[in-house]
Amino acid sequence: MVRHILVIFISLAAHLAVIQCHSFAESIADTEQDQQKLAKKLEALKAEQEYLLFRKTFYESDSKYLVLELSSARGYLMYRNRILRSFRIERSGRSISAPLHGIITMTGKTDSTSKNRTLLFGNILLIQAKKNKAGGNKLPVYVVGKKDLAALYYALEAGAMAYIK
Amino acid sequence: MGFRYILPGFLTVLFLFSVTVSVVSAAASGDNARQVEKDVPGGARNEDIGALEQEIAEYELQNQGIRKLVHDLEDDDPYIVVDTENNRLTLRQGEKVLLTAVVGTGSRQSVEEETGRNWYFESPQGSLAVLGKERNPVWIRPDWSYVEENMPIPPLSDPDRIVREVLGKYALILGNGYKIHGTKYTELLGTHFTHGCISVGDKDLEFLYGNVKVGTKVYIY
Repeated sequence: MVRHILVIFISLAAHLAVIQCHSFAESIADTEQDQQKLAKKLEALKAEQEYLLFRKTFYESDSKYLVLELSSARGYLMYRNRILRSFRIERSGRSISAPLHGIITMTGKTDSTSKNRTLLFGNILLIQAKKNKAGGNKLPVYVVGKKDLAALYYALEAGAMAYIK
Repeated sequence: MGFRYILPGFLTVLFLFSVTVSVVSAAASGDNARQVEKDVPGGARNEDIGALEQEIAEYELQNQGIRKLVHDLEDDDPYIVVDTENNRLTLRQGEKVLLTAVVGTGSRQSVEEETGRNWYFESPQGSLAVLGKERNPVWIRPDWSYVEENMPIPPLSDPDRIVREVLGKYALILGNGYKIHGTKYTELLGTHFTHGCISVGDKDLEFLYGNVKVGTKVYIY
């Protein structure tokens, strides 16, 4: 009789232990999820701070600059936090790249012919007009309207900065 | 069976029960924890969460300060932008565009006097401001205007220099002889044809005159 009771109790104990372990694993998974959420929030705050400091710097500067919101396909030529020109900017179907973010510097502009103007941002990206067929580069290519490019080409010099949001 | 036999038996079973629960769960928890640490580098620990929360709080506080600083630097006043490459003028307020006008800007041509004195007709670039507003402005012909037409240059006080009704009904003074004004040559709007001033059509000029004040910023690029 005592032996039977003993077996039942031990089985019950083992069962309870398994349940407890399961809830322990769940609690670790929850903690991990919370940590990921917090890490994501921290990254967003860091990015916001970088952009705020960029704006603050350029408010006090005499340089024109670009803000590129690639996710919404909008670009802005800016001066002291004021929009001089807003334009549409799209990724060329020919190019592939990892997501871009942060501050980049214009390293040069080319004008082999008036129709083939390009703005080069190091080895990060290239901006050119929609109908510019000049290819051959391995950089991500972003295209803007012809008049937009003319304005940007005239307004910006090598060394100009852009912020990719 | 008497009570004295049941009680020790029950206590023994209870003891074994709790020991079993502790041993089995401790063993299994250890396995789980090791598994989690293996799957997630660094593992998910409460200390890490605490550190993250502290860092987030610090960034939130810093960003709040910088946000206010940036906000305080900005105003919501209308401002004029002139794109000399495309010959367009826009009156903006924040992200709103209040007016887009086709304008004329500096011809990017030069003229030279026999003496060697020369002028290059380009619209000024950079950050300017409306320094004054005029109704029915008059044009005081500068020397280059006579040189261009191969005419003798009269003295500065010569009344011949005063020309009426060529600058439209209104003018916004930008300084150094530059203005945003009307024109008789409306068919040339959209091209580089001026001597540096920004020429605007009548309707757009009236709108501009009514919506900007002295001190309004003018950005020309």
